[in-house]
Amino acid sequence: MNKFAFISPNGRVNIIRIFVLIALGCFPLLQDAYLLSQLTVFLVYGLFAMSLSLIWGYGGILCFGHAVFFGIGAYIMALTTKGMIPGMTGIFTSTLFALLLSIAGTALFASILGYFLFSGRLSGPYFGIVTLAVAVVAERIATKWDYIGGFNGLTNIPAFSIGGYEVLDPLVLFYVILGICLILYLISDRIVNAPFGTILSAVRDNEDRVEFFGYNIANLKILIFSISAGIAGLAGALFAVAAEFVSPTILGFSLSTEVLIWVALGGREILLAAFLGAISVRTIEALLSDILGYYWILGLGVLFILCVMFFPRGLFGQLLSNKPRN
Amino acid sequence: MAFILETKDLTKQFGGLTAVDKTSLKLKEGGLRCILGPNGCGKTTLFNLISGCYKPTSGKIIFAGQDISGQPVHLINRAGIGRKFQIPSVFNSMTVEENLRVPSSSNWKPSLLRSKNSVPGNRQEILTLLNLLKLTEKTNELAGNLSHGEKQWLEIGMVMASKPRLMLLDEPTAGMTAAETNKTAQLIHQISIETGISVVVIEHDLNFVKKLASRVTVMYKGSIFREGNYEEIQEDKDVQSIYLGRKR
Repeated sequence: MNKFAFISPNGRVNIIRIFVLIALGCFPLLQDAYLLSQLTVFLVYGLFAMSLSLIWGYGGILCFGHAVFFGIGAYIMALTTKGMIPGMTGIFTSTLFALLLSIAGTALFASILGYFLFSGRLSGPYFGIVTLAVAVVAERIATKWDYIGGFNGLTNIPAFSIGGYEVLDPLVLFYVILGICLILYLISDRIVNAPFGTILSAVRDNEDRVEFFGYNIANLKILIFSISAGIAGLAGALFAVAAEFVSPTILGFSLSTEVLIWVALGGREILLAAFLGAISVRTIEALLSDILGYYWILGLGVLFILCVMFFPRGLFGQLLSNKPRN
Repeated sequence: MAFILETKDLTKQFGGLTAVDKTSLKLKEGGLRCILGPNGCGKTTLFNLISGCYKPTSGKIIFAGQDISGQPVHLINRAGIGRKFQIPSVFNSMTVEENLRVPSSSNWKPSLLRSKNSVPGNRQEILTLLNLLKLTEKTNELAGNLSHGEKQWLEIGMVMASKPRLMLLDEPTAGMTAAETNKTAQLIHQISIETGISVVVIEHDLNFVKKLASRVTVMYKGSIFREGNYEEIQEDKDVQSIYLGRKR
């Protein structure tokens, strides 16, 4: 029996969407500068989680190294705006150019990586292990490479600027990032509801069956992997601006697994659920980690296990799904 | 005489085991054919070779005048060979209608941003198919919630939606009740007569083969053993002995 029988599933989802947007939009009314700057970073994590949901929830590709793309995006942003990339000066160090370069750079890297992995027909846990290895390697390289800051990373990243106007007010930055998240959400939602998204879900359900209908599976997977990586790269670039630093930890193993937990907790099969999963976990973490200290990780682990046992579709997954129950 | 499918001395070896041994099969356009044989005689391997799952060790596969041996799976499908798997393979988390939309050939390069309503796959064609499969009432049901028999029919429908010239059906009645088996026989008969699609069926169930009233090819130890109509095959002493395991 559907608890929300009085409105159609689509109507319910739309109401929640609008509610989330209003709630986030009204958040600055709390007038708490610290919380606002925290939430700005959480929005970025939410965008990152959404990009993982695209390939994991919709494409069935379990990527254990998604932070690599986030980190590459962040480093490209930092290096470009700080003018540290040789030969790039003037307009090429602007925020907008750096954002575009972050998206393009990570998407390109992902398409090359994806070409080798998917053409080699790597899937399931094997794919996970290889991407995990990529994350560890990336973290090692970033730690040892002094030019990009080595272990300490890069700080003093220039503020977000649009056409010469520097966004120094945290409130404006918050709305800029919220706006970007909204645009990316709408684009991603469009993709998963387009014919491509239908085929993608079919690949997740039964890859062989799709291949025997004439589809080139490797190409489909490379495409969605690159799109997902591009969004993760954009999230990383925004992180660099919002947090004002980048360090090797953001492209390694730990963030890669953390984002998996956010997405699994929120609901990997729904973009908005993954987004809310990241924001919720980070918010709870911010509230509880002072009290719990190191036990926070333990608590998160317990929460994760409980969620897998009792809410396999995630905390928000069922609520936001417009499909009938299995 | 034009053949839709012709295999020439088709052979597949797995190490020391020869699963398909110099098989030469000829199939007329628009025909219905049953392939019969005891377990391990190479029926499914033959399907895997034709549909591109395996590359042949030697020999050729000619489909509609073109040599397709060793081509990748998706290109063989695009050439016009559709295949139904032995285990029902439908997309469980998608609705019946969505399942039927996936095979539409205009999707091969699926559009990234257009809305779902503009999905290729003609709505009228899908309705006709649903009617043929007798699944009209389940249009918006998740495929995972269908019964075993319904999943089998849905998959046959999906293969039809991909508009093949040749359909390979691997044990379409596996796990079905007698009533479902009858219905499946009717369905396949109807497809064969009404659409002109050539159909090859792998089958164990002799009753089903009898109902199809098609030409029968018996395979044994990787090669073609006998060919004939149902009565000829049924009365053949050698066929009886390979099935019942008597010493020959």
